[in-house]
Amino acid sequence: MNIMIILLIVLPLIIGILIFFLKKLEYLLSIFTSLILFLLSINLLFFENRIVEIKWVSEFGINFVFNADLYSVFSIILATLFVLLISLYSGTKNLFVDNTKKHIYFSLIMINLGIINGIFLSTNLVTFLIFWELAGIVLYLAIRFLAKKDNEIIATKTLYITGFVDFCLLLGIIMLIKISGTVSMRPFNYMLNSPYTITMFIFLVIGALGKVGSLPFHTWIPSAAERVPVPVATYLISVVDKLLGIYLLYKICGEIFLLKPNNGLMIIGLITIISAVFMALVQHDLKKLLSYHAVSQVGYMILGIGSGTVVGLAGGVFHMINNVIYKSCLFLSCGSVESMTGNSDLTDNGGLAKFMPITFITTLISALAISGVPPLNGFFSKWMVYQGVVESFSKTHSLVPILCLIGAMFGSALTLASFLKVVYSIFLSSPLNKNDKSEIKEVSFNMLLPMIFLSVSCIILGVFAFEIPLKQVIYPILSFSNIITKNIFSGSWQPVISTALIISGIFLGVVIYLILSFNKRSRLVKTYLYGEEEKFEGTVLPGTDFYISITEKEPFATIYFLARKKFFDFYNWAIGLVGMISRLLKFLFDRKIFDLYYIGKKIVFVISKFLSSLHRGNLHGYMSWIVIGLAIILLFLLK
Amino acid sequence: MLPLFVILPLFSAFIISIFGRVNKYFGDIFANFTNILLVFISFLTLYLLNINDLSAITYNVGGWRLPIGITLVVDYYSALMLIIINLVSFFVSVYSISYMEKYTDKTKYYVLFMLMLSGMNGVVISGDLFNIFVFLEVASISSYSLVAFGVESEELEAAFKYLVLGTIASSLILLSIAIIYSYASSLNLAHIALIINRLPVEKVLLTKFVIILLIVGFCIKSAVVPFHSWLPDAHPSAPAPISAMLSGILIKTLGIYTMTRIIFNVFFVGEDIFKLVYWLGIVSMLAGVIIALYQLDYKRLLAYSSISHVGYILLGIGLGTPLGILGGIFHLLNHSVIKSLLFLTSGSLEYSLGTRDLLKISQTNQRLPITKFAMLIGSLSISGVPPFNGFWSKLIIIIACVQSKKLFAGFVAILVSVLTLSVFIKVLKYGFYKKSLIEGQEQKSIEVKDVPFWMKFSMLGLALLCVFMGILIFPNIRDVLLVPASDILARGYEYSKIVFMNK
Repeated sequence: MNIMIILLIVLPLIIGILIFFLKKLEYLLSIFTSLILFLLSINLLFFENRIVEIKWVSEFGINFVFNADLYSVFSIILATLFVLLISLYSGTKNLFVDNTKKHIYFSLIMINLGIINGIFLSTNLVTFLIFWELAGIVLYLAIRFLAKKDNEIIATKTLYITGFVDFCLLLGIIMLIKISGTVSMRPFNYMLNSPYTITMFIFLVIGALGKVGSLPFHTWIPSAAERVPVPVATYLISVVDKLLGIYLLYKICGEIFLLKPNNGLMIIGLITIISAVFMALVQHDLKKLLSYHAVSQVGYMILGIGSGTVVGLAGGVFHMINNVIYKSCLFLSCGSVESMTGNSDLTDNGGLAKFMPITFITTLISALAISGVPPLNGFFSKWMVYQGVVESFSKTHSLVPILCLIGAMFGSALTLASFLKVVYSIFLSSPLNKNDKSEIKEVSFNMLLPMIFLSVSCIILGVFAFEIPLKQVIYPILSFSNIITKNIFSGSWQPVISTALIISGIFLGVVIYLILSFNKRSRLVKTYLYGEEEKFEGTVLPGTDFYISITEKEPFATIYFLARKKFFDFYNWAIGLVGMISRLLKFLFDRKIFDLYYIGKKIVFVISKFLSSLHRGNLHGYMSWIVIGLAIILLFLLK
Repeated sequence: MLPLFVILPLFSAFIISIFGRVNKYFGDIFANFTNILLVFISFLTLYLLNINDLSAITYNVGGWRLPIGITLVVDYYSALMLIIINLVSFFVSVYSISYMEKYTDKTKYYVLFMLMLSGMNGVVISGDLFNIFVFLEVASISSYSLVAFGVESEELEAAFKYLVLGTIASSLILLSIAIIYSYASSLNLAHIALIINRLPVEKVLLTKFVIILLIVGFCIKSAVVPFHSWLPDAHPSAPAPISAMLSGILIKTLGIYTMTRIIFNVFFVGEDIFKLVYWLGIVSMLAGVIIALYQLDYKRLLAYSSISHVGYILLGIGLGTPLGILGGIFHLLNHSVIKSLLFLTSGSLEYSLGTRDLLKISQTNQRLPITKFAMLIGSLSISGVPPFNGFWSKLIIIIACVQSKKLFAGFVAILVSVLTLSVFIKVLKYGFYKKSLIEGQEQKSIEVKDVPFWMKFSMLGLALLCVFMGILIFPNIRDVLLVPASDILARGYEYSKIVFMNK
């Protein structure tokens, strides 16, 4: 039993290193390993005693203490499951820029799996931090090795940002160890009532938010997602970062601190939702668009957890799980499109629904799920988050939760709008440039299987939301953290009944349509353009023109202009600041003014020249030196 | 066995002067044979000291008992000095086989060389003050003539200066010996130590006066600033092997060894004498290295660097703590090896390229692999780059400074070490760069003759010593060699007890 917990960490590490040096068999090895790990982690659920302790630096209380609580176990199950699915998906050749680097990808994914299992299992704060940092390094390596162009710039940017937030996390953990007097993680339930705890809270939360990629630490995500191969983006950006970040945020808000409404977090969540979704609206590249949505969805989770209510917390965690599922499905579908057509640009693709029906359906389902259309899973978790926000308003009576509620709903609508554009321009519209489409066909089975699995889970988790995810997963997790989960819902929503109603409604609509279509009486109208001006010529309406007008109206025009100029990228600000300081220091110290070396050189040479000039070879002078020296010594010592 | 150290080289000088005319190679063979024998005997002395667990070996000349007769004493300190003197002079005499070919009279060279060697050995083994003076004069006078060996105007001028200033030193020493004899009625070091201790209080000032005269005399011999002025002329003018001997061992034997013997083992010296030595050390260190920075004549640069390193040794000794003394002695040994090596490389450059001007050396496109290698090793060692020997002794001196709370001295020691590094980086830059450093001057690609085997042999031997002498400081080896040597000095008066016990 103990050996199984250790295996969860050690086995993927070993396999990862093995793959790196073996350079072949990577596909089979990783599928096989992740399958074993998946079974192991499921097995973990049925154990009572899940504690392993390995002595390391026990003088300072730093040991490897692995205590798998329920959240950890479910996280590990999710992580291993996704590694299995993504490994399965990655068998196809043309997913990668450079196929010779494929073994690096598999090796990094395996090593990363071992490390994040270590993060989830560690209850010792120090070992937790060590694993956490290692995950950051793997992220850097993945971008450095696998990204297309500018990989070193993006990788460095990622490393700086994650390094900064990890540093904040380190400070927070040091403060936590100091205040609690222990290095193990357990429910402390501190109050945010002194400057010390508030500072600690801010540091810890920066660590979590940076990992999960919320504003203002998100800027590496779109640039990295645009350049790395799709499986890497799927795994690292949409699975690992969300799992880790929300895990930490949950621990901070639910266990380390007492669960209370937190306006700051809610505002961060709101800003993240709105600004990222506005950026997503106008993207042309599918991967970049998806990555902006990955940022935007994080806002909902932060909003839910920040609302400080039980239902909000549960909703945040549930939304994270849902997000991992549908966002991975979207990324994988994007990868399928890219592997067939060679690019992921919205304008270059079009009308693929005919050729790739299954990809179309999975994309549609996950797009609806992410937009929060009932009865899919995204709706349910968003609904829980909204409830949490409402309840938080009833507790605090401040204006912030209401503002957040409105903003989040607005963001949800914009998400739907954005995905309408995606589905329309890739799958439905006619393509602008009519390339030969004869080679495009449905992707192979190993790629379809994960997509189908994920979209089916979207439906199941939505329709049976109470029965499966909440009762089996979320409630046990919460009660494990001593949070009471009775009667947390203030509204009511019966997903099964409503699904039945929705299906019957659709059915009724179809029936009405069929009946009316017997008459063959219909009229032709102009296409409804949502109030847009008619700008296009011909019959094709390009999907990328959908929301283009928003970029032309003030004040959005200025904001978009600034965003395009990377004005809101705080990384650039920080780098600019550092550059300015270094230029200042260079001006002060590197010029001759404060240059100690230069001054020293001058002085030494002057002295040296002077002393050399004394050695003229004059014997009388030399003799007088001796006499003078002797006289001085006698004078001083014989007085 | 102890008289052999003097008798052998004297005898060899005598024999060479007679039979040197007969065969051209007689001097080479006989001198080197004598040197090998001396190296062997000096190691044997150390071995005897060690195996019999003795503090000192004494020998009464003519069987006259102490304190009437002449006593020869060898303790660990003297034994280490004997080893380093004879080892360096062995390498130098091997080097001379080829190098001295260009001078007309090798026989005379070997005669003078052997006389100088016997003088130095005599200074180290003598147990009484007058014999020290006599042997010191033997070594000095032969070195005056050796400096003038080239008989060009430059050499003669330098030798004359050296002669005048050296004689001033000798007369100061002789004067103080006369004063000591008038009060103590004895010249034996151990005996003087016993008597001077019992002198009445009002004579303390006189003792101090005598010590200062002696110290100044020995400082002139060991070229401490401001008494150094003969050295920058004499060292570059002498033939390279003689420069190596002078800078490597002569200034240390005639100056530092005698000075430490006197101030530690013979006289009651107060804190202020140590302070004097300490300040003389610091001034020498700084002045030597700063002037060396400005030099473009390779040998002159090395000569100034010698002044600076004598300062290091004095600093270590002037601290007066056991660790400081140990560091001083260790640096003395190391510097002997390093500086001899560097002077030998300067000889090689002069042999092959005909110049010792660094600018001219840099303009020639020369390939002298062994010489360059030896220069590199020597420069790194003298700049205190680990793991070469110079690093360890400087480190110990700096640690000793810090331990005795003299942070200023430690700072100066580090600063001088950095400056030394910059001096020798300059040497390496000029010596190793293939490109001309001066704009517009084309590099002369000249065909040079590589140095002969024997010169390479001694440079490589000394370079190996540089690399491996660092092990002397390792704990177990240190306890056998360096610690007993510094112990003798640190124990002060017990020296006389040891000598009397051994009579």
